[in-house]
Amino acid sequence: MILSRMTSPVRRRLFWLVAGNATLLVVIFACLLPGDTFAGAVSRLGTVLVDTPRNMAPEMLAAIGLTAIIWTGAIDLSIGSVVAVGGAVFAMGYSHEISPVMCFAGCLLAAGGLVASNGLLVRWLKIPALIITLAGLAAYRGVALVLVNLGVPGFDGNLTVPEEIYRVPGRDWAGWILVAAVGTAVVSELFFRTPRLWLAHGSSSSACRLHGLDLSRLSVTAFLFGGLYVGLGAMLYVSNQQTIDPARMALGFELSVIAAVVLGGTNIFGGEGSFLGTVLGVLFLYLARQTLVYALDDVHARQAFEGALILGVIGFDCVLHRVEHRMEELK
Amino acid sequence: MRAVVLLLLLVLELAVFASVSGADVSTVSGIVGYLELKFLDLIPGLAPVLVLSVGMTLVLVTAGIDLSVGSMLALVAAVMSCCEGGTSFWFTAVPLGLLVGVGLGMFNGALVSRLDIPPIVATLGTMIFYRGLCQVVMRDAERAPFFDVPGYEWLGGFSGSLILLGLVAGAGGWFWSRSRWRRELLLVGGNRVAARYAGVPVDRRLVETYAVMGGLAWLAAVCFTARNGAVNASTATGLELKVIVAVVLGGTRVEGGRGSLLGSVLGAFLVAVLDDGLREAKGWSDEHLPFEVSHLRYLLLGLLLVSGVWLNTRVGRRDAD
Repeated sequence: MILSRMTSPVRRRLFWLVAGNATLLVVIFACLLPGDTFAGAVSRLGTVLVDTPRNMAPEMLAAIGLTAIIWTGAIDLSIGSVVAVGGAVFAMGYSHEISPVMCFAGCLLAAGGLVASNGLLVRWLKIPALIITLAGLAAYRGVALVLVNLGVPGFDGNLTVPEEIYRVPGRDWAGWILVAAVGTAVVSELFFRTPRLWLAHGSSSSACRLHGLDLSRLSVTAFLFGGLYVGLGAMLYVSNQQTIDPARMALGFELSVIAAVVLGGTNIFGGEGSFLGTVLGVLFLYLARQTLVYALDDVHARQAFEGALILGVIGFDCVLHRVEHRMEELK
Repeated sequence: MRAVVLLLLLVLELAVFASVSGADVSTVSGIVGYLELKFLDLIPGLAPVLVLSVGMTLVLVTAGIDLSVGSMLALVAAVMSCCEGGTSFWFTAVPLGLLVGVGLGMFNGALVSRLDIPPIVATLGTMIFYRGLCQVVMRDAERAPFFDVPGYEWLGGFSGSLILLGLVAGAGGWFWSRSRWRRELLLVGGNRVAARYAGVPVDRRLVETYAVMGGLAWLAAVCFTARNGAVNASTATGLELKVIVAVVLGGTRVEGGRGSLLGSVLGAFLVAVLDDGLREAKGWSDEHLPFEVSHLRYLLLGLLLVSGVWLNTRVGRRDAD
């Protein structure tokens, strides 16, 4: 049912990603095997898999939120800085001895609210989302730094949170929150109208306008949905850290999230993609990083390999897309 | 009109930061002295951003974007730092750097034009990739062979930077105002299908544009290393945002089809004065503000970007009407 609603490039991408993820698991297992027994390697692979949901939950939740935004033809480049603002609000709450629940809620609301406000700014100012959120990338980092300066007494660059209670969502509940959030997203894609309208908006704005749809309102709903997921992701990210450092927190987070969304088959210009593809895209990037950890002793080469991998996968898909397009023209 | 507005903004920025930094600007000689000191310090620091802004203007005009400029600069500088200092540096590292810069730019151009990867995705990928390569080259080290090269440090001083900037802005401006290439780039950015029908070799022009961007990244790397004398794996991180802000403030449309080199140059000055002014205002902020004034840099950069694009959009709509 899910597959029947997807375009052929997205279906093809899902196939590649499933195959890619399976291959990466085999490669990780092969890397674990030397110097260990078969049972020992299986056990270590199991440990890697058990830790997977917790480690990739923030990125996956943010990626699902960003997918909805990209479907409408918009983008949000500011999510890394938004996470930093969430962290700053959390730090303020913690330093004033506010209860953990309120700290988590503040973090979620601050991060989610900023993403939603990006949507409103796009609507009001009629400026491309790329620009609004590129500005947000810088501005929100500044906001986070100003907030901790103002709201955390004696702040000296970072804040350590030793109490375990403040890390429960990011460590103990991350897997369950992830399952619930992914399930909700996939179900909404299958059975609700709004996600399909986001896709329609990204696919042809003029057709949607002729159909009588309020496009700017539709965009705002996508940013609201995105805000909810990015907010959840920020909460898990922050509560998984022992130290909160708004200057360096989640730096480059947006890049890996966008890379995962594009890897998952979502067209960066909107109108095409699936939440399932995004989930597999995030998993692929995570497993690729794990593979590099086990396969490459050289820490410095890992980022280069990661970049090459992203470019390779996207480039390969674009070549296939181009060939397919030309064949259709010939027909 | 936009140039006048940008100049007024520049004067306003200078006035605000002069009063905040406590400089004596009550007399004409005081103002002249302040400006002299300011520009002596500002020009060498501004050079990389300004050089990259010229290239970014070309890229944005074609409806593209290059997020990898900071990584390109760092990688070129890293490769150059692998060569030995001394006179031979001029014949080995400098041409090698140019080759690497143009090669990286052409790779970006090939991804965008030949593989049809959207520019933002392609250059996002190369931004990570080039930074990774930079880490492979540099490891955790910081290399500083540049000040051992005879005459190299002069390029990072006031007069050297000024001459380089004058050459880039002057040659670029002359070429921009007279060449057919510029018209073709505008057409590619304005309407790619129409450009193909008009016989413009779109793919080749795109590769050329990104190659020029790569070449300018090399020049920016020369300016940067001549001033700072050292390079490491995190050099020029976040530089792309400053460059994009400068170009957009200068009146270049992010959707392509319109751009101004003069505007970009003024935009780069605005960004540099802001950066420098906030650094100078630290003493004042420690007394008057409950937070560090340098944090405002990010906020103001964001606000400048949004207001620049908003202004461009309004001008575009007025022109269309």
